[in-house]
Amino acid sequence: MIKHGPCIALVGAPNCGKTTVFNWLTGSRFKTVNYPGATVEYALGSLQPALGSGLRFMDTPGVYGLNPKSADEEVTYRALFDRDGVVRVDGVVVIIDGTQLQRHLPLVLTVLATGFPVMVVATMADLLAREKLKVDWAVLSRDLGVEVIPFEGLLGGGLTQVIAAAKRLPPRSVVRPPSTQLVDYQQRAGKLVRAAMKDVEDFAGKQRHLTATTRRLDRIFLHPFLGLLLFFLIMSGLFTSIYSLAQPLMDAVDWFFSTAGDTVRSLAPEALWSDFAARGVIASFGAVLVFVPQIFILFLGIGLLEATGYLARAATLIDRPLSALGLTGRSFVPLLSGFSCAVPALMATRNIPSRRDRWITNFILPLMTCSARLPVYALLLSFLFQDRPAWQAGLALTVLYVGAMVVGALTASVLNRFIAKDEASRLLMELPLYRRPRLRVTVRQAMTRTWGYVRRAGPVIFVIAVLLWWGSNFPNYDLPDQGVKLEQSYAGRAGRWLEPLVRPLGVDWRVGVGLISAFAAREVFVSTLALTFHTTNEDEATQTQGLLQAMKGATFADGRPVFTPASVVGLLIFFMIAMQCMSTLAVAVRETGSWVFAWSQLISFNIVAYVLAVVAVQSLRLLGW
Amino acid sequence: MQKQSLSRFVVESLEGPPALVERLGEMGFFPGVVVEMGKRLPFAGPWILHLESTSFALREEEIAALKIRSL
Repeated sequence: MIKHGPCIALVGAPNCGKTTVFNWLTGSRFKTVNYPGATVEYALGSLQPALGSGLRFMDTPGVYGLNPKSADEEVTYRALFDRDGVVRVDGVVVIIDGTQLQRHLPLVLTVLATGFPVMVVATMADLLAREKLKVDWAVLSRDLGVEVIPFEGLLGGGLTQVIAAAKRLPPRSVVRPPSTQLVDYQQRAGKLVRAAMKDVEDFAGKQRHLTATTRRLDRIFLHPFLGLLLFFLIMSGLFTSIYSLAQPLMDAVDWFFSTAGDTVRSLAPEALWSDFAARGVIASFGAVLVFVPQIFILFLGIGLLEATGYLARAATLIDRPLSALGLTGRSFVPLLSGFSCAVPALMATRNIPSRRDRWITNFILPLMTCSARLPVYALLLSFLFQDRPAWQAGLALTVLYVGAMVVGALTASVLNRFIAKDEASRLLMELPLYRRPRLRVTVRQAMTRTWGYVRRAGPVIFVIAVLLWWGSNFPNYDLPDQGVKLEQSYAGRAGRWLEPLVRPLGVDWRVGVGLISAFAAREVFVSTLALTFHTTNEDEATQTQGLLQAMKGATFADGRPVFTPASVVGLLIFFMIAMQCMSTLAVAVRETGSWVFAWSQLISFNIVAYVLAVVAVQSLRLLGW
Repeated sequence: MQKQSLSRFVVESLEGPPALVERLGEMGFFPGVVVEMGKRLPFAGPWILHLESTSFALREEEIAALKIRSL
């Protein structure tokens, strides 16, 4: 627990460079703190040791003012003013964009009126220097009555002055939420800016020059046709990079854990402990970690697009299509993140101001094809297209992705009919200047997000996988025949009990056990199948190869194959739509504050998935597949 | 809205739902500021406009709250 020194909150508009300052101050080492009893989370970090000690900093979601209009802004408001918050804020650094003084100064004045000890950090000092926009910070500081420190985010210029000024902040006394009219602040801001910029010549010309590159790029990226085309190309590029980059990594992880497991097993081939270690513990770790490359690459890709400023343009381009579904461009980034993992995506909807838009977006989010579905799709598609050219499997995968989006769009438009629009449904998108992303920071951010995922979902998946190992090996562990042992195990009994439900899907109880396990976490499906179908045939390079072999030979009692094109398509459809993830359920409850929401999501998606899968299987069977 | 590219306007006042007006104000759109109108995205999409050194994308109903006069 970070305890030392006063806590200074960083407050500022979106895109002002606030998080960059936070990262410089804390060395990107921070904890995410949960506000008790609510969905609030904010980042808390200590001053990094190389720069000193005795100060803590809190990063808050970007705000345009202190009258909250979205869940995100609510977080900042409560962090500042709630009496029984997690941490008491002792001072505020208002971060403003040095190239946007007129627009950002009113926020400074608003915060000043609250009574907090305040200092100001003006970012983009490098841009100001480049354009020879000489702002007289001393004059501004004098007029405001607080310290104003210019800062440049690329190399951290100004950081020591920022820290020194933060240490000079007086102790806090009484604070209260602001109440004055915004318009007064706006007029005062105008006067302040004119005083601070009185030595600047040709301000308009310099501002035009500052925005020249961005405007030129926007002529392309926001072009009526070229813009949309580029959007599709960029998004396709993002997703195909998963297959070219992530798949080899996923294969490597798969191979590593199989080999590790086999090695451990060979140490004591008959012992219980080695079986548990290899097939229980090691295989479970493998189940958690195999899709991490995929999640990381998507977070990295999205992070890079966001850092360049492109995502705001993407959200703008997609606003009109989304409005046909009753949503706005603001739902785009969370939905995109859902392709990596629904858990952070659900949290990303906090900056959607309209409650009803946020609700609908949260509802359809699990339909976005998350990383956990990939191992399942990969296995089933490998089986389906095993003797076919690779591009066919690739095409099928694309169809699955697009199909899920179509189902999401349909669901959204249906919900749109039934839930009245609220007047907060807005776009109001700020399009920041294009900038070159800082690779190291973005990589580190992607790693933090990926790790956050592993930490949250990892234990759940691990526990389930171990339980499955236990459930499929007991009570008759010592039976020599693996098949009989499995049938008589607890997992086997549960599977048999469910068999009537999975028969219409064209599969048997062994897949049934897999489906039950998938309800807790999708990726466990593959390792469960490995348990329920895998023979002791160990001479395949990876677990997947062995499993594919086993699947080919799997039959019902009467000799009919379990895995036919019909049954595999049924499984694919089921996984495409069904909501199967305890982590998502838990976060959905937390984010929406409603068990009703989460359970209705779970039940409706799973019923629809089941029905559609059964229809598909039975129809395909009639066609002879 | 007329389809003009890059024309400069002064915001005279803001009229509309109070929450929208307040939010526009917080983002920097208030009486006296100069905005440059950009183009509108196809199929009745959002408008692009420029204020100081930032661009914005606003929907038709959001821009309608800005009462402007051409410079």
